[in-house]
Amino acid sequence: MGSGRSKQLPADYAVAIIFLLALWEITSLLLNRPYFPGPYASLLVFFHEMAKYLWAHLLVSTARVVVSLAAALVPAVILGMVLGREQRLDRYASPLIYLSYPVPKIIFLPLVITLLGLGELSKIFLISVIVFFQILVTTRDASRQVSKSMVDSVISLGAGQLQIYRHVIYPACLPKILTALRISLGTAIAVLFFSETIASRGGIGGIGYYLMEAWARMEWDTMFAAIIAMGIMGFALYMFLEWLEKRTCPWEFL
Amino acid sequence: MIRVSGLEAAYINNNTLIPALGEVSFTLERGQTCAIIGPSGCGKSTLLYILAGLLKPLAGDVVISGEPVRPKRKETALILQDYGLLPWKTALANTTLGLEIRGYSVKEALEGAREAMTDLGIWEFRRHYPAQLSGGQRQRVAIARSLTLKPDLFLMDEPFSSLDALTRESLQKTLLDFWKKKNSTMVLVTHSIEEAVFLGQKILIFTSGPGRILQTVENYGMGDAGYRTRPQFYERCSMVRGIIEGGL
Repeated sequence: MGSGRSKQLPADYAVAIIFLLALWEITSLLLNRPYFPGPYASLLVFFHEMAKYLWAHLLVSTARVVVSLAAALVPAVILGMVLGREQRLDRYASPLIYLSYPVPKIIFLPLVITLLGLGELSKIFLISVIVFFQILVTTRDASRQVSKSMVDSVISLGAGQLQIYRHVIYPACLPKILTALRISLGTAIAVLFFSETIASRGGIGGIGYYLMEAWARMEWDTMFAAIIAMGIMGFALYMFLEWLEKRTCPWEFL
Repeated sequence: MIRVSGLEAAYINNNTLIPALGEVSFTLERGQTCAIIGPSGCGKSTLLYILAGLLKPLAGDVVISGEPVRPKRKETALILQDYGLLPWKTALANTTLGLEIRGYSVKEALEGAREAMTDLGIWEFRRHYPAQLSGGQRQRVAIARSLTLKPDLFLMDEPFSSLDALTRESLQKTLLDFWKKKNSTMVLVTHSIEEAVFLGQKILIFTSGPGRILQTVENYGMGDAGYRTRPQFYERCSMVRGIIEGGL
Protein backbone atom coordinates (compact mmCIF):
# COMPACT_ATOMS: atom_id res chain seq x y z
CA MET A 1 0.00 0.00 0.00
CA GLY A 2 1.73 3.12 1.22
CA SER A 3 5.03 1.40 1.87
CA GLY A 4 6.23 2.31 -1.62
CA ARG A 5 6.07 6.01 -0.85
CA SER A 6 9.34 7.69 -0.07
CA LYS A 7 9.45 9.89 2.99
CA GLN A 8 11.22 13.19 2.38
CA LEU A 9 13.03 14.91 5.19
CA PRO A 10 13.48 18.69 5.42
CA ALA A 11 17.19 18.12 4.88
CA ASP A 12 16.47 16.43 1.54
CA TYR A 13 14.54 19.51 0.45
CA ALA A 14 17.42 21.76 1.54
CA VAL A 15 19.83 19.76 -0.62
CA ALA A 16 17.45 19.98 -3.60
CA ILE A 17 17.04 23.73 -3.17
CA ILE A 18 20.80 24.28 -2.97
CA PHE A 19 21.26 22.16 -6.09
CA LEU A 20 18.67 24.16 -8.05
CA LEU A 21 20.12 27.49 -6.91
CA ALA A 22 23.59 26.34 -7.97
CA LEU A 23 22.25 25.28 -11.37
CA TRP A 24 20.60 28.67 -11.74
CA GLU A 25 23.79 30.51 -10.73
CA ILE A 26 25.93 28.52 -13.17
CA THR A 27 23.48 29.07 -16.06
CA SER A 28 23.39 32.75 -15.28
CA LEU A 29 27.20 32.99 -15.18
CA LEU A 30 27.59 31.05 -18.43
CA LEU A 31 24.94 33.05 -20.27
CA ASN A 32 26.16 36.31 -18.82
CA ARG A 33 23.19 38.30 -20.15
CA PRO A 34 21.22 41.05 -18.36
CA TYR A 35 17.94 39.16 -18.92
CA PHE A 36 19.15 36.16 -16.91
CA PRO A 37 20.17 37.43 -13.47
CA GLY A 38 21.51 34.99 -10.88
CA PRO A 39 19.63 33.80 -7.80
CA TYR A 40 21.26 36.26 -5.40
CA ALA A 41 20.26 39.38 -7.31
CA SER A 42 16.82 37.94 -8.05
CA LEU A 43 16.14 37.00 -4.43
CA LEU A 44 17.18 40.48 -3.27
CA VAL A 45 14.68 42.03 -5.66
CA PHE A 46 12.10 39.42 -4.69
CA PHE A 47 12.17 40.41 -1.01
CA HIS A 48 12.24 44.07 -1.94
CA GLU A 49 9.25 43.66 -4.27
CA MET A 50 7.37 41.49 -1.80
CA ALA A 51 7.54 44.35 0.67
CA LYS A 52 5.95 46.63 -1.94
CA TYR A 53 3.24 45.14 -4.20
CA LEU A 54 4.28 41.62 -5.11
CA TRP A 55 2.67 40.07 -2.00
CA ALA A 56 -0.73 41.41 -3.09
CA HIS A 57 -0.34 39.88 -6.56
CA LEU A 58 0.78 36.63 -4.96
CA LEU A 59 -2.26 36.63 -2.70
CA VAL A 60 -4.67 37.32 -5.57
CA SER A 61 -3.16 34.55 -7.70
CA THR A 62 -3.17 32.04 -4.84
CA ALA A 63 -6.81 32.85 -4.05
CA ARG A 64 -7.75 32.30 -7.71
CA VAL A 65 -6.07 28.89 -7.81
CA VAL A 66 -7.58 27.77 -4.50
CA VAL A 67 -11.12 28.96 -5.34
CA SER A 68 -10.95 27.41 -8.83
CA LEU A 69 -9.73 24.06 -7.51
CA ALA A 70 -12.40 24.00 -4.81
CA ALA A 71 -15.12 24.96 -7.28
CA ALA A 72 -14.09 22.12 -9.58
CA LEU A 73 -13.43 19.59 -6.84
CA VAL A 74 -16.85 19.36 -5.22
CA PRO A 75 -19.00 18.70 -8.32
CA ALA A 76 -16.29 16.56 -9.97
CA VAL A 77 -15.98 14.28 -6.94
CA ILE A 78 -19.73 13.88 -6.45
CA LEU A 79 -20.41 13.26 -10.13
CA GLY A 80 -17.36 11.00 -10.49
CA MET A 81 -18.36 8.79 -7.56
CA VAL A 82 -21.92 8.43 -8.85
CA LEU A 83 -20.89 7.73 -12.47
CA GLY A 84 -18.45 5.08 -11.27
CA ARG A 85 -21.27 3.20 -9.57
CA GLU A 86 -24.28 3.84 -11.77
CA GLN A 87 -23.51 2.09 -15.02
CA ARG A 88 -26.71 3.25 -16.67
CA LEU A 89 -25.88 6.90 -16.08
CA ASP A 90 -22.29 6.34 -17.09
CA ARG A 91 -23.37 4.91 -20.44
CA TYR A 92 -24.73 8.31 -21.39
CA ALA A 93 -22.07 10.36 -19.65
CA SER A 94 -18.97 8.50 -20.87
CA PRO A 95 -19.18 9.49 -24.55
CA LEU A 96 -19.76 13.09 -23.49
CA ILE A 97 -16.71 13.01 -21.26
CA TYR A 98 -14.49 11.30 -23.82
CA LEU A 99 -15.46 13.81 -26.50
CA SER A 100 -14.96 16.88 -24.35
CA TYR A 101 -12.01 15.81 -22.21
CA PRO A 102 -9.27 15.95 -24.89
CA VAL A 103 -10.41 19.33 -26.27
CA PRO A 104 -7.87 21.90 -25.05
CA LYS A 105 -10.34 24.12 -23.25
CA ILE A 106 -7.85 26.98 -23.07
CA ILE A 107 -8.90 27.78 -26.65
CA PHE A 108 -12.18 29.04 -25.21
CA LEU A 109 -10.31 31.78 -23.34
CA PRO A 110 -11.31 34.56 -25.78
CA LEU A 111 -14.92 33.39 -25.71
CA VAL A 112 -14.94 33.16 -21.92
CA ILE A 113 -13.52 36.66 -21.62
CA THR A 114 -16.11 38.00 -24.03
CA LEU A 115 -18.89 36.33 -22.06
CA LEU A 116 -17.69 36.84 -18.50
CA GLY A 117 -15.46 39.90 -18.82
CA LEU A 118 -11.96 40.55 -17.53
CA GLY A 119 -12.83 40.08 -13.87
CA GLU A 120 -12.37 37.13 -11.52
CA LEU A 121 -15.20 35.06 -12.93
CA SER A 122 -13.63 34.42 -16.34
CA LYS A 123 -10.32 33.19 -14.86
CA ILE A 124 -11.90 31.05 -12.17
CA PHE A 125 -14.42 29.59 -14.61
CA LEU A 126 -11.76 28.60 -17.13
CA ILE A 127 -9.43 27.00 -14.57
CA SER A 128 -12.34 25.18 -12.92
CA VAL A 129 -13.64 23.73 -16.17
CA ILE A 130 -10.22 22.40 -17.14
CA VAL A 131 -9.48 20.93 -13.73
CA PHE A 132 -13.04 19.58 -13.37
CA PHE A 133 -12.51 17.03 -16.13
CA GLN A 134 -9.20 15.80 -14.72
CA ILE A 135 -10.71 15.18 -11.29
CA LEU A 136 -13.95 13.77 -12.70
CA VAL A 137 -12.27 11.10 -14.82
CA THR A 138 -9.92 10.03 -12.02
CA THR A 139 -12.70 9.88 -9.45
CA ARG A 140 -15.02 7.95 -11.75
CA ASP A 141 -12.33 5.36 -12.49
CA ALA A 142 -11.50 5.02 -8.79
CA SER A 143 -15.16 4.64 -7.90
CA ARG A 144 -15.58 1.95 -10.55
CA GLN A 145 -12.72 -0.08 -9.05
CA VAL A 146 -14.17 -0.27 -5.55
CA SER A 147 -14.47 -3.98 -4.79
CA LYS A 148 -17.99 -5.32 -4.85
CA SER A 149 -17.41 -7.51 -1.82
CA MET A 150 -16.56 -4.46 0.27
CA VAL A 151 -19.83 -2.84 -0.77
CA ASP A 152 -21.72 -6.09 -0.15
CA SER A 153 -20.33 -6.48 3.32
CA VAL A 154 -21.43 -2.95 4.21
CA ILE A 155 -24.87 -3.55 2.71
CA SER A 156 -25.12 -6.70 4.82
CA LEU A 157 -24.55 -4.48 7.86
CA GLY A 158 -27.62 -2.53 6.81
CA ALA A 159 -26.09 0.39 4.92
CA GLY A 160 -28.21 2.47 2.55
CA GLN A 161 -26.94 4.25 -0.56
CA LEU A 162 -25.68 7.34 1.28
CA GLN A 163 -23.88 5.23 3.86
CA ILE A 164 -22.24 3.18 1.09
CA TYR A 165 -20.89 6.41 -0.37
CA ARG A 166 -19.81 7.71 3.01
CA HIS A 167 -18.13 4.60 4.38
CA VAL A 168 -16.89 2.88 1.22
CA ILE A 169 -16.87 4.83 -2.04
CA TYR A 170 -15.63 8.19 -0.78
CA PRO A 171 -12.72 6.92 1.33
CA ALA A 172 -11.78 4.44 -1.41
CA CYS A 173 -11.56 7.29 -3.94
CA LEU A 174 -9.97 9.86 -1.63
CA PRO A 175 -6.28 9.04 -2.24
CA LYS A 176 -6.85 9.07 -6.00
CA ILE A 177 -8.79 12.33 -5.74
CA LEU A 178 -5.89 13.94 -3.91
CA THR A 179 -3.44 12.67 -6.52
CA ALA A 180 -5.67 14.11 -9.24
CA LEU A 181 -5.74 17.37 -7.32
CA ARG A 182 -1.94 17.50 -7.18
CA ILE A 183 -1.68 16.93 -10.91
CA SER A 184 -4.44 19.45 -11.53
CA LEU A 185 -2.57 22.01 -9.46
CA GLY A 186 0.13 22.27 -12.13
CA THR A 187 -2.50 22.66 -14.82
CA ALA A 188 -4.37 25.23 -12.75
CA ILE A 189 -1.28 27.40 -12.28
CA ALA A 190 -0.40 27.21 -15.97
CA VAL A 191 -3.92 28.24 -16.99
CA LEU A 192 -3.90 30.94 -14.32
CA PHE A 193 -0.67 32.40 -15.68
CA PHE A 194 -2.04 32.40 -19.19
CA SER A 195 -5.34 34.00 -18.29
CA GLU A 196 -3.69 36.59 -16.06
CA THR A 197 -1.37 37.68 -18.83
CA ILE A 198 -4.23 38.04 -21.30
CA ALA A 199 -7.27 38.92 -19.28
CA SER A 200 -6.18 41.62 -16.87
CA ARG A 201 -7.26 45.20 -16.45
CA GLY A 202 -4.19 46.39 -14.59
CA GLY A 203 -4.08 47.08 -10.86
CA ILE A 204 -3.50 43.96 -8.77
CA GLY A 205 -3.71 41.62 -11.73
CA GLY A 206 -1.90 38.65 -10.19
CA ILE A 207 1.60 37.31 -10.69
CA GLY A 208 1.08 36.55 -14.38
CA TYR A 209 0.14 40.16 -15.01
CA TYR A 210 3.00 41.38 -12.80
CA LEU A 211 5.50 39.24 -14.68
CA MET A 212 4.38 40.40 -18.12
CA GLU A 213 4.52 44.04 -16.98
CA ALA A 214 8.08 43.56 -15.74
CA TRP A 215 8.99 41.85 -19.01
CA ALA A 216 7.51 44.69 -21.06
CA ARG A 217 9.56 47.20 -19.05
CA MET A 218 12.63 44.94 -19.40
CA GLU A 219 13.02 44.88 -15.62
CA TRP A 220 14.65 41.50 -15.60
CA ASP A 221 15.22 41.29 -11.84
CA THR A 222 11.56 42.05 -11.19
CA MET A 223 10.55 39.44 -13.73
CA PHE A 224 12.61 36.86 -11.89
CA ALA A 225 11.12 37.98 -8.60
CA ALA A 226 7.71 37.11 -10.09
CA ILE A 227 9.02 33.74 -11.27
CA ILE A 228 10.21 33.02 -7.72
CA ALA A 229 6.81 34.07 -6.34
CA MET A 230 5.02 31.74 -8.75
CA GLY A 231 7.37 28.91 -7.80
CA ILE A 232 6.80 29.46 -4.10
CA MET A 233 3.05 29.49 -4.61
CA GLY A 234 3.13 26.20 -6.48
CA PHE A 235 5.42 24.58 -3.94
CA ALA A 236 3.37 25.77 -0.95
CA LEU A 237 0.10 24.51 -2.45
CA TYR A 238 1.72 21.21 -3.37
CA MET A 239 3.03 20.77 0.16
CA PHE A 240 -0.42 21.61 1.51
CA LEU A 241 -1.94 18.83 -0.59
CA GLU A 242 0.72 16.41 0.65
CA TRP A 243 -0.10 17.34 4.22
CA LEU A 244 -3.81 17.01 3.51
CA GLU A 245 -3.31 13.50 2.15
CA LYS A 246 -1.36 12.46 5.24
CA ARG A 247 -4.09 13.90 7.45
CA THR A 248 -7.07 12.46 5.60
CA CYS A 249 -5.64 9.13 4.40
CA PRO A 250 -3.51 7.80 7.27
CA TRP A 251 -4.04 4.21 6.08
CA GLU A 252 -2.06 5.00 2.93
CA PHE A 253 1.05 5.77 4.97
CA LEU A 254 1.38 2.72 7.19
CA MET B 1 -34.98 -21.18 11.07
CA ILE B 2 -34.19 -21.59 7.38
CA ARG B 3 -36.48 -23.25 4.86
CA VAL B 4 -35.30 -23.36 1.26
CA SER B 5 -37.54 -25.02 -1.29
CA GLY B 6 -37.13 -25.46 -5.03
CA LEU B 7 -34.48 -22.77 -5.20
CA GLU B 8 -33.08 -21.97 -8.64
CA ALA B 9 -30.57 -19.26 -9.42
CA ALA B 10 -28.54 -18.05 -12.36
CA TYR B 11 -26.12 -15.29 -13.13
CA ILE B 12 -25.54 -13.30 -16.28
CA ASN B 13 -22.20 -13.51 -18.05
CA ASN B 14 -21.75 -11.86 -21.46
CA ASN B 15 -25.51 -11.56 -21.82
CA THR B 16 -26.10 -15.30 -21.37
CA LEU B 17 -27.93 -16.70 -18.42
CA ILE B 18 -25.74 -19.28 -16.71
CA PRO B 19 -27.56 -21.53 -14.24
CA ALA B 20 -25.88 -21.60 -10.82
CA LEU B 21 -28.30 -23.54 -8.66
CA GLY B 22 -30.93 -26.07 -9.67
CA GLU B 23 -33.78 -27.18 -7.42
CA VAL B 24 -32.14 -26.82 -4.04
CA SER B 25 -34.27 -27.61 -1.00
CA PHE B 26 -33.27 -28.02 2.62
CA THR B 27 -34.24 -26.92 6.10
CA LEU B 28 -32.18 -25.90 9.07
CA GLU B 29 -33.44 -25.71 12.64
CA ARG B 30 -32.69 -22.79 14.92
CA GLY B 31 -29.32 -23.26 16.57
CA GLN B 32 -28.13 -25.77 13.99
CA THR B 33 -24.94 -25.46 12.00
CA CYS B 34 -24.70 -26.41 8.39
CA ALA B 35 -21.64 -26.73 6.19
CA ILE B 36 -22.01 -26.49 2.43
CA ILE B 37 -19.30 -28.15 0.42
CA GLY B 38 -18.83 -28.94 -3.23
CA PRO B 39 -16.60 -28.38 -6.26
CA SER B 40 -15.72 -24.84 -7.39
CA GLY B 41 -18.50 -23.18 -9.31
CA CYS B 42 -21.24 -25.29 -7.74
CA GLY B 43 -23.13 -22.18 -6.70
CA LYS B 44 -22.48 -22.52 -2.98
CA SER B 45 -21.53 -18.84 -2.66
CA THR B 46 -24.58 -17.92 -4.73
CA LEU B 47 -26.74 -19.79 -2.22
CA LEU B 48 -25.17 -17.84 0.64
CA TYR B 49 -25.76 -14.52 -1.10
CA ILE B 50 -29.40 -15.47 -1.61
CA LEU B 51 -29.72 -16.35 2.08
CA ALA B 52 -28.20 -12.93 2.86
CA GLY B 53 -30.79 -11.27 0.63
CA LEU B 54 -28.10 -9.81 -1.61
CA LEU B 55 -29.13 -11.86 -4.65
CA LYS B 56 -32.59 -12.67 -5.95
CA PRO B 57 -33.32 -16.27 -6.93
CA LEU B 58 -34.92 -17.20 -10.25
CA ALA B 59 -37.43 -19.49 -8.63
CA GLY B 60 -38.21 -21.10 -5.31
CA ASP B 61 -38.81 -19.91 -1.78
CA VAL B 62 -36.44 -18.94 0.97
CA VAL B 63 -37.96 -18.42 4.38
CA ILE B 64 -35.86 -17.26 7.29
CA SER B 65 -37.37 -17.24 10.76
CA GLY B 66 -40.86 -17.49 9.31
CA GLU B 67 -40.46 -14.58 6.90
CA PRO B 68 -39.50 -14.51 3.23
CA VAL B 69 -35.83 -13.56 2.85
CA ARG B 70 -35.12 -9.86 2.39
CA PRO B 71 -32.00 -7.74 2.25
CA LYS B 72 -30.83 -6.11 5.47
CA ARG B 73 -32.47 -8.55 7.82
CA LYS B 74 -31.08 -7.18 11.04
CA GLU B 75 -30.23 -10.47 12.70
CA THR B 76 -28.28 -11.90 9.79
CA ALA B 77 -24.50 -11.57 9.82
CA LEU B 78 -22.49 -12.15 6.67
CA ILE B 79 -18.79 -12.94 6.89
CA LEU B 80 -16.87 -13.09 3.64
CA GLN B 81 -13.64 -14.72 2.55
CA ASP B 82 -11.78 -11.42 2.26
CA TYR B 83 -13.28 -10.32 5.59
CA GLY B 84 -15.08 -7.28 4.10
CA LEU B 85 -13.06 -4.94 6.28
CA LEU B 86 -12.57 -1.36 5.17
CA PRO B 87 -8.85 -0.56 4.84
CA TRP B 88 -9.42 3.09 5.82
CA LYS B 89 -10.95 2.24 9.17
CA THR B 90 -9.08 1.03 12.22
CA ALA B 91 -9.98 -2.33 13.73
CA LEU B 92 -12.19 -0.51 16.23
CA ALA B 93 -13.91 1.65 13.59
CA ASN B 94 -14.50 -1.45 11.48
CA THR B 95 -16.06 -3.21 14.44
CA THR B 96 -18.35 -0.31 15.40
CA LEU B 97 -19.43 0.18 11.77
CA GLY B 98 -22.44 -2.13 11.95
CA LEU B 99 -23.82 -0.48 15.06
CA GLU B 100 -23.01 2.97 13.64
CA ILE B 101 -24.89 2.22 10.41
CA ARG B 102 -27.87 1.01 12.42
CA GLY B 103 -28.03 4.30 14.24
CA TYR B 104 -26.70 3.36 17.66
CA SER B 105 -25.02 6.11 19.66
CA VAL B 106 -21.22 6.35 19.66
CA LYS B 107 -21.17 5.19 23.27
CA GLU B 108 -23.31 2.12 22.60
CA ALA B 109 -21.29 1.26 19.50
CA LEU B 110 -18.03 1.54 21.46
CA GLU B 111 -19.38 -0.58 24.27
CA GLY B 112 -20.60 -3.27 21.88
CA ALA B 113 -17.31 -3.29 19.99
CA ARG B 114 -15.27 -3.52 23.15
CA GLU B 115 -17.21 -6.51 24.37
CA ALA B 116 -16.92 -8.38 21.06
CA MET B 117 -13.27 -7.48 20.51
CA THR B 118 -12.31 -8.50 24.03
CA ASP B 119 -14.12 -11.83 23.56
CA LEU B 120 -12.08 -12.46 20.42
CA GLY B 121 -8.81 -11.27 21.92
CA ILE B 122 -8.23 -8.37 19.56
CA TRP B 123 -9.09 -5.36 21.76
CA GLU B 124 -5.40 -4.50 22.06
CA PHE B 125 -5.20 -4.17 18.25
CA ARG B 126 -8.11 -1.72 18.06
CA ARG B 127 -5.98 1.15 16.73
CA HIS B 128 -4.40 -0.94 13.97
CA TYR B 129 -5.53 -0.65 10.38
CA PRO B 130 -6.42 -3.91 8.60
CA ALA B 131 -3.14 -3.73 6.65
CA GLN B 132 -1.31 -3.91 9.97
CA LEU B 133 -3.14 -7.05 11.10
CA SER B 134 -2.48 -10.68 10.27
CA GLY B 135 -5.07 -12.64 8.32
CA GLY B 136 -6.33 -14.33 11.46
CA GLN B 137 -6.66 -11.03 13.31
CA ARG B 138 -8.53 -9.51 10.39
CA GLN B 139 -11.00 -12.36 10.35
CA ARG B 140 -11.45 -11.94 14.10
CA VAL B 141 -12.28 -8.26 13.51
CA ALA B 142 -14.83 -9.29 10.89
CA ILE B 143 -16.36 -11.79 13.31
CA ALA B 144 -16.33 -9.19 16.11
CA ARG B 145 -18.17 -6.75 13.87
CA SER B 146 -20.90 -9.26 13.16
CA LEU B 147 -21.11 -10.23 16.85
CA THR B 148 -21.86 -6.62 17.83
CA LEU B 149 -25.12 -6.91 15.92
CA LYS B 150 -26.23 -9.87 18.08
CA PRO B 151 -27.17 -11.98 15.07
CA ASP B 152 -29.16 -15.19 15.26
CA LEU B 153 -27.95 -16.30 11.85
CA PHE B 154 -24.32 -16.38 10.70
CA LEU B 155 -23.61 -16.77 7.00
CA MET B 156 -19.98 -17.42 6.18
CA ASP B 157 -18.37 -17.71 2.77
CA GLU B 158 -15.09 -19.64 3.05
CA PRO B 159 -14.17 -17.52 6.04
CA PHE B 160 -10.86 -19.17 6.84
CA SER B 161 -9.64 -20.27 3.44
CA SER B 162 -6.79 -17.77 3.17
CA LEU B 163 -5.40 -18.49 6.63
CA ASP B 164 -2.53 -20.79 7.55
CA ALA B 165 -3.46 -24.17 9.04
CA LEU B 166 -2.82 -23.34 12.72
CA THR B 167 -4.65 -20.00 12.61
CA ARG B 168 -7.49 -21.68 10.77
CA GLU B 169 -7.89 -24.38 13.40
CA SER B 170 -7.77 -21.88 16.23
CA LEU B 171 -10.47 -19.74 14.56
CA GLN B 172 -12.59 -22.80 13.86
CA LYS B 173 -12.42 -23.57 17.55
CA THR B 174 -13.31 -19.96 18.43
CA LEU B 175 -16.30 -20.22 16.14
CA LEU B 176 -17.36 -23.51 17.69
CA ASP B 177 -17.15 -21.98 21.18
CA PHE B 178 -19.30 -19.05 20.08
CA TRP B 179 -21.85 -21.27 18.50
CA LYS B 180 -22.15 -23.34 21.69
CA LYS B 181 -22.36 -20.21 23.85
CA LYS B 182 -24.79 -18.16 21.78
CA ASN B 183 -26.73 -20.99 20.18
CA SER B 184 -27.00 -19.13 16.90
CA THR B 185 -27.67 -20.72 13.53
CA MET B 186 -24.68 -20.96 11.21
CA VAL B 187 -24.34 -21.62 7.51
CA LEU B 188 -20.77 -22.11 6.41
CA VAL B 189 -19.63 -22.43 2.82
CA THR B 190 -16.27 -24.14 2.63
CA HIS B 191 -14.06 -26.11 0.31
CA SER B 192 -12.32 -27.86 3.15
CA ILE B 193 -13.69 -31.29 4.04
CA GLU B 194 -12.13 -31.14 7.53
CA GLU B 195 -13.73 -27.76 8.18
CA ALA B 196 -17.12 -29.00 7.02
CA VAL B 197 -16.91 -32.04 9.29
CA PHE B 198 -15.59 -30.05 12.25
CA LEU B 199 -18.18 -27.27 12.10
CA GLY B 200 -21.24 -28.65 10.32
CA GLN B 201 -23.95 -30.55 12.17
CA LYS B 202 -25.46 -31.00 8.79
CA ILE B 203 -23.23 -31.25 5.72
CA LEU B 204 -24.77 -30.44 2.37
CA ILE B 205 -22.70 -31.86 -0.46
CA PHE B 206 -23.27 -30.11 -3.78
CA THR B 207 -22.79 -31.36 -7.33
CA SER B 208 -20.80 -29.29 -9.81
CA GLY B 209 -22.62 -26.39 -11.43
CA PRO B 210 -25.52 -25.86 -11.64
CA GLY B 211 -25.38 -27.01 -8.04
CA ARG B 212 -27.84 -29.49 -6.63
CA ILE B 213 -27.69 -31.21 -3.29
CA LEU B 214 -25.96 -34.51 -3.94
CA GLN B 215 -26.33 -35.76 -0.41
CA THR B 216 -26.98 -34.49 3.11
CA VAL B 217 -24.81 -35.94 5.83
CA GLU B 218 -25.97 -35.76 9.45
CA ASN B 219 -22.73 -35.26 11.29
CA TYR B 220 -23.42 -36.76 14.73
CA GLY B 221 -20.67 -36.24 17.23
CA MET B 222 -19.54 -32.80 16.14
CA GLY B 223 -19.61 -29.91 18.55
CA ASP B 224 -16.71 -30.92 20.71
CA ALA B 225 -13.25 -29.37 20.37
CA GLY B 226 -11.65 -32.83 20.69
CA TYR B 227 -13.67 -34.18 17.77
CA ARG B 228 -10.87 -33.39 15.36
CA THR B 229 -8.59 -36.08 16.86
CA ARG B 230 -11.14 -38.89 17.06
CA PRO B 231 -11.24 -41.79 14.60
CA GLN B 232 -14.92 -40.96 14.01
CA PHE B 233 -13.83 -37.58 12.59
CA TYR B 234 -11.49 -39.21 10.10
CA GLU B 235 -14.11 -41.73 9.08
CA ARG B 236 -16.62 -38.97 8.44
CA CYS B 237 -14.05 -37.00 6.44
CA SER B 238 -13.33 -39.96 4.19
CA MET B 239 -17.02 -40.59 3.82
CA VAL B 240 -17.65 -37.00 2.68
CA ARG B 241 -14.63 -37.17 0.38
CA GLY B 242 -16.00 -40.37 -1.13
CA ILE B 243 -19.38 -38.77 -1.80
CA ILE B 244 -17.80 -35.72 -3.43
CA GLU B 245 -15.52 -37.78 -5.63
CA GLY B 246 -18.34 -40.14 -6.53
CA GLY B 247 -20.48 -37.19 -7.61
CA LEU B 248 -17.97 -35.71 -10.01
